[in-house]
Amino acid sequence: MSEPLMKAIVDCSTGEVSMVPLTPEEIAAAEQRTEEYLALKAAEDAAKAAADAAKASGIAKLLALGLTEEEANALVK
Amino acid sequence: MHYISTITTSGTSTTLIDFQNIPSSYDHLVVYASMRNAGGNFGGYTMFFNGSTTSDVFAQIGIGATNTTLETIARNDNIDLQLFPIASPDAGDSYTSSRFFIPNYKDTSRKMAIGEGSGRFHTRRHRYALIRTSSTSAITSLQIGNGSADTLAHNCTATLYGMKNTK
Repeated sequence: MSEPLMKAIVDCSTGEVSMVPLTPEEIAAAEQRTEEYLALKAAEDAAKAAADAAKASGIAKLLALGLTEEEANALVK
Repeated sequence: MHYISTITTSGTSTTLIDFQNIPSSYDHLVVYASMRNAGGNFGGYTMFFNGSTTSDVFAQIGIGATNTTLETIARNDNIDLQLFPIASPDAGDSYTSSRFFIPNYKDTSRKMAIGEGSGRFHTRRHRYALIRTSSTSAITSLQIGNGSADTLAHNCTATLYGMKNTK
């Protein structure tokens, strides 16, 4: 059985730190954040992959026109 | 700047850090945090106020080492300040370093906060973030949690300071 998820609470008026298990609502909120985050990251990954592919395609076309690799990379930087 | 409190995680089951009973004797708050994910998910970290996970608007700009495009992400339905950038928790990852400035935290009007953080996160190593809370309550507690259901690594540290408008 896995350990329960905990939160570390500090009472700023006393400095006392205590460990308290997350409530079911807090666990559900954390799981929702995971789903949202993974969706966000997937979108970012897809956007970056598309940009990288476009850049590679552009470089290839420039090379085909006779530019050196250094020149092509400088243009699409 | 005056020290208020600090929390350092010591185990592997902590997923949320919670500063409660923040004194009202300051004008602004500053948080410094060093964080790392202990779980399997990639994850940013989140900050929210007064325990609310529903009343904030968040935007961030990420600057990558290889991608210099600025990106702004606006979210209207949640709280995330994914400003603790970190990638998968492999052995090569280090703890991130972030700081936040929360001005006029006692105001009973809408408030904003700004922060920046450096670390390893996807393609972006450095992020600037902005929170606008739609809550009009004074901030009396502040939470920093993992952006996923994963836990925080041991030795994550968050320290809260207060600032006064005095010379």
